[in-house]
Amino acid sequence: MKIKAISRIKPKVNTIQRNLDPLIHPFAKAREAQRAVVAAKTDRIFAQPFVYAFSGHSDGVWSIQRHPKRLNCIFSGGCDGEIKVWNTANRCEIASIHAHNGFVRGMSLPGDGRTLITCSEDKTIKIWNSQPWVQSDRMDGSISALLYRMNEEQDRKNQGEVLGDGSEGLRSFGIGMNEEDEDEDALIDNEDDEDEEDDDEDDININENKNIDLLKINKRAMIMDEEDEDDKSNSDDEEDEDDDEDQKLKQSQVRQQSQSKLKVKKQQSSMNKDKKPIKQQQQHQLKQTNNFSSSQQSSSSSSLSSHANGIVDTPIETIVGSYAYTSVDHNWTNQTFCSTGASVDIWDLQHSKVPINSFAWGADTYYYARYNRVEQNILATCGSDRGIVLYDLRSETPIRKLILRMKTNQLCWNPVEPFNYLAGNEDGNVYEFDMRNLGASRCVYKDHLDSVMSLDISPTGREFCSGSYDRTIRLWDSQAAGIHTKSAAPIGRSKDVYHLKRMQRIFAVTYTGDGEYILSGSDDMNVRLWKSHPSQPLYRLLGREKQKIKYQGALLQKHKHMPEVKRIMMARHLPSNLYHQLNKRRIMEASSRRKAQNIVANSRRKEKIEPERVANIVTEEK
Amino acid sequence: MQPQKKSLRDGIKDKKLIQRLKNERQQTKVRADDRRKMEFVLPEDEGFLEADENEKTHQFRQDEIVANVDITAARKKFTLDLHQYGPYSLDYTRNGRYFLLGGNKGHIFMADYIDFKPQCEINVNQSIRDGNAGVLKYMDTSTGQQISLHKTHLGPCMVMEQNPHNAVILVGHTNGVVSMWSPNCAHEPLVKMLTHGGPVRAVSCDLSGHYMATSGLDGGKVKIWDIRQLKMLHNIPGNYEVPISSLQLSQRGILAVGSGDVVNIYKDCLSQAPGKEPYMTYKLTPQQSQVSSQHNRQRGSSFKGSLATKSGADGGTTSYGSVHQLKFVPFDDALGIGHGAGFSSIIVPGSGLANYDSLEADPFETKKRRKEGEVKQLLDKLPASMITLNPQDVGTVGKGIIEHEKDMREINIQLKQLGKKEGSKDKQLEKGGKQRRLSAAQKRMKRMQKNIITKEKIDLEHKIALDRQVKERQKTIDRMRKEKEKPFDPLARFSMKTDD
Repeated sequence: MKIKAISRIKPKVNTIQRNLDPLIHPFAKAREAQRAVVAAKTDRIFAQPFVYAFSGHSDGVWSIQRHPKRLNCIFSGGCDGEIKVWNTANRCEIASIHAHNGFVRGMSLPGDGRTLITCSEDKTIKIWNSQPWVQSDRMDGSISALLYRMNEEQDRKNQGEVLGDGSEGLRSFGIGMNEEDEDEDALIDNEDDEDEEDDDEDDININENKNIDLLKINKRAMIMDEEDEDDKSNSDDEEDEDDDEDQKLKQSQVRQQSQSKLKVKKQQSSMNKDKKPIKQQQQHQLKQTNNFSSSQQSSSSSSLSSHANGIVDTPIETIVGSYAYTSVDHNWTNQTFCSTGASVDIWDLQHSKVPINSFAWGADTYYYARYNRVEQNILATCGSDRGIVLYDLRSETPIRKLILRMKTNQLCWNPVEPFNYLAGNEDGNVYEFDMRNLGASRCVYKDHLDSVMSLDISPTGREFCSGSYDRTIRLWDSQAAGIHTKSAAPIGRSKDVYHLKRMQRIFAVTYTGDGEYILSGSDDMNVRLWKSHPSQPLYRLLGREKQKIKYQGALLQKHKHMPEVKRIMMARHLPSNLYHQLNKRRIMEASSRRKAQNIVANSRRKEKIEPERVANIVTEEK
Repeated sequence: MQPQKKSLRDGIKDKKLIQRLKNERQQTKVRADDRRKMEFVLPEDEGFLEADENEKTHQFRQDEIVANVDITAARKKFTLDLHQYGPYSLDYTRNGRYFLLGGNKGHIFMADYIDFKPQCEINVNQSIRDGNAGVLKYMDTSTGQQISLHKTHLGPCMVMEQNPHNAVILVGHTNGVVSMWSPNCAHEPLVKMLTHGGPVRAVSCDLSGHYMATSGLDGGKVKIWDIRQLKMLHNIPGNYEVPISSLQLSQRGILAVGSGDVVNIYKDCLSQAPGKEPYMTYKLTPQQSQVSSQHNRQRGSSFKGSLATKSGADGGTTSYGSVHQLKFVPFDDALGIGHGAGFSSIIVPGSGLANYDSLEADPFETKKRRKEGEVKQLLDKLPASMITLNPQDVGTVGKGIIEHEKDMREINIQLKQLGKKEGSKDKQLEKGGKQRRLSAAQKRMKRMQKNIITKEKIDLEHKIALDRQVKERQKTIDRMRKEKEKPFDPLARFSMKTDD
């Protein structure tokens, strides 16, 4: 007799054994479908896109630009001509400059972001040195970290002369090394809930208070410097404001004076004496390398007066034109940039007295220009004649002009598919064009109920966001992403919509450099930070969490056509006025479609329904 | 004539979708390959029992088997003598870790099958019995709500089994019918099969959901059915003179038949008829039980401190009665027998699957994993509406609907063509040429033609009528379902019935 019966010994260690035999996995398909439903639900439950609102502008925010090299640095330009620099990681304001006397219409950071070009309705283009802002102590991390660094430098120089005092002083301020650790997390902040927002603000205020204390010290030190040296007084308005501020600071400092603080201040002042000439030297070098000529037009000859915390508030160069400028954009390889207004001008950064080139083709005003990132000599503009013009800068001519039914507000080249670009139109649609075939748009993205003011494509080229006059931001999957996304939205429909009760008309949207966040500037004077994937957690994920999110994404992608999943995935709350407007519009669209079909069905002539991709194109001129 | 285009999938124009479907198909192939490869690395082999020449497997007694298997497997042969409260029914957990005994006179006992430890023991001091009304109730065990209630209208039913493949409930009735139910059927069962001439006594379904074994009081036959085709395949040879009290199919398709105090076990009996002799036989005799209990005492596996420790010391004098219920142990080579005098476990090599999946059912799972598994199970819980005859339908496009639409489209096209044909006898028109303005005579002709009844036309009209009928029936079904879904109103029975 041959016999064998199953005999297992209880394992001493917890082991996982797999057997993929479908017999012991009943309802595998149904369970997977059910898991997809749960995944869809959790995706909606955890969707909390709003991160933070940067307030501080005293008028609507018209333009936003991200720094090309630094994730946490963004620039925003207001309708009152003010430019603000923000640190998105620390959620604090770095600098505020009264740059123009009118809307800041455009901003651009060429090359590695050492300079900032701004243009305005006040007929000026200004070129700024952005280094002091970008490299400012508040951008790098907390003040305490910087103080420590400075302290060390000082120690090295003075060889232990003030070592004991300095360290004691710092300790008396309650500055610990822990703060540095916090800052290392940069953008990954663990407070992601809207509910916790208030708490966040409190936390920040606490940090701010600490920082302000230290700033005061800094400022005080600077004032002392200025008193010692001959003051290079400026007639600028903001300088006066600064003086006021300084006075306030002085008063407050008088109140808070203590011996230990004084020690630090003295130390600071001595440090700053060392530091300031170095900064000026840097400026000087930069000027020399860039060959900026000081002319009558430019006000760069004016002294580089510094903010209390060492930040520049006068431009390197000012170009005064004869018309209001509407946008600027820089070339991605060489030292040129373009501006739009009554004409499209190409400038050289180094010889910016007169434009290298000037184009105009039919329009009174050009609203927006964008260089292609890959084909660097291709430029696209949109103008008041409802036209989108493509230029080849090698032959120094415009190539094509495409006229749509309504005017285009903004353009954006796809960074990954360089022949494709998006056009945000006044009719509330976003059109995707292939520059090789302008006869029909590749896709019409429609969901906005008012004109699209701004749009930006994610660095991946797969998705984009748009801000509209209807007070919403919408997120879209590019048509090229197609079926490879988990979103259940049909092609040409938005996958998500962001709106807030207090958010007004959106003028500017931009992705951050990593594509994980969206920044929006709106009429309500706020710059807002949003997540671009609303249910993605902000904290650092464990391996298992990553795995789970990946699995759930794959489930959704596979089952997104199931009605149970689709219903949950597509559900979005809209403000009631928009909701009714959207419904009404859909009814009207259906009706006109029906009518067109009836005409085709009953007409003797061979009628044809014009697809929407073609219907809104008027002509193409060569 | 245009050459017919051969597309990858009929009716799919989207190139990207076609590519995706291609990829998915490719992936399924790869996955199937992987699965096949993985079979080589599975740790355990299936059990077996083979006879040498001049031997028959059914001649081996349990004590011989116990002597020849290793020590852990041998522990699975034991007997619990529980004379006072029998007969006992039993069940194992899904992973085969615990078993539960229920004595007819109120004794409930649960024990760890692997560690041989009693878990809990109570006596409810009442006889445990089922209802008698022939009503099938579905309860949601996680929320405690009743999902649906079906009146079978077939009298009391003593036999109920679940098809493990699709979770459909099989109920055996006294008129020889086996009916299949899901919580979603309105008033009729999904399937009604006349299986026997007399009352159905036992039903069992195999793991794949392809086969069913039944027995009734019509001459002691055991019948094997194909439930996909709803067709009988064959009988198990031989007639049981004592009525069959229990049938059980194991994970690997081994059939145990309990009749009187005998348990016969058949192998390879589903796809083809088995030989005359069973694979194994076991007789509940006091003598045997004495042997096994002595054996158990030697091996030291007894349930200390419980009623169940009264193992067969006085077994020789009492009758064991008949087999009450049989249950194979999942993922193990053993069969549990509940009978008049307690519970016996015997070794049946080759009955259970050798390799379990820890993520599905693990006999050795830790407490933490069990807890987490329960949460995951709840998250994966399928709604009752997903219980259908074919669980593979979930997540696919309803083919019926598409085909129905296709049929309708074809009918419409044919009708149009018919209309055209009737419209004019003109050959040019039939070829689909330009429509000509008809003369007065032609118009008259057309009008006349409209009244001509052809065979084609009759067929089509018949088809349309049929279609309408189907639609109406669907409507009534939907209406009834809606009615069923209405919350139960105790006063409704007094309301006047209206015909709508």
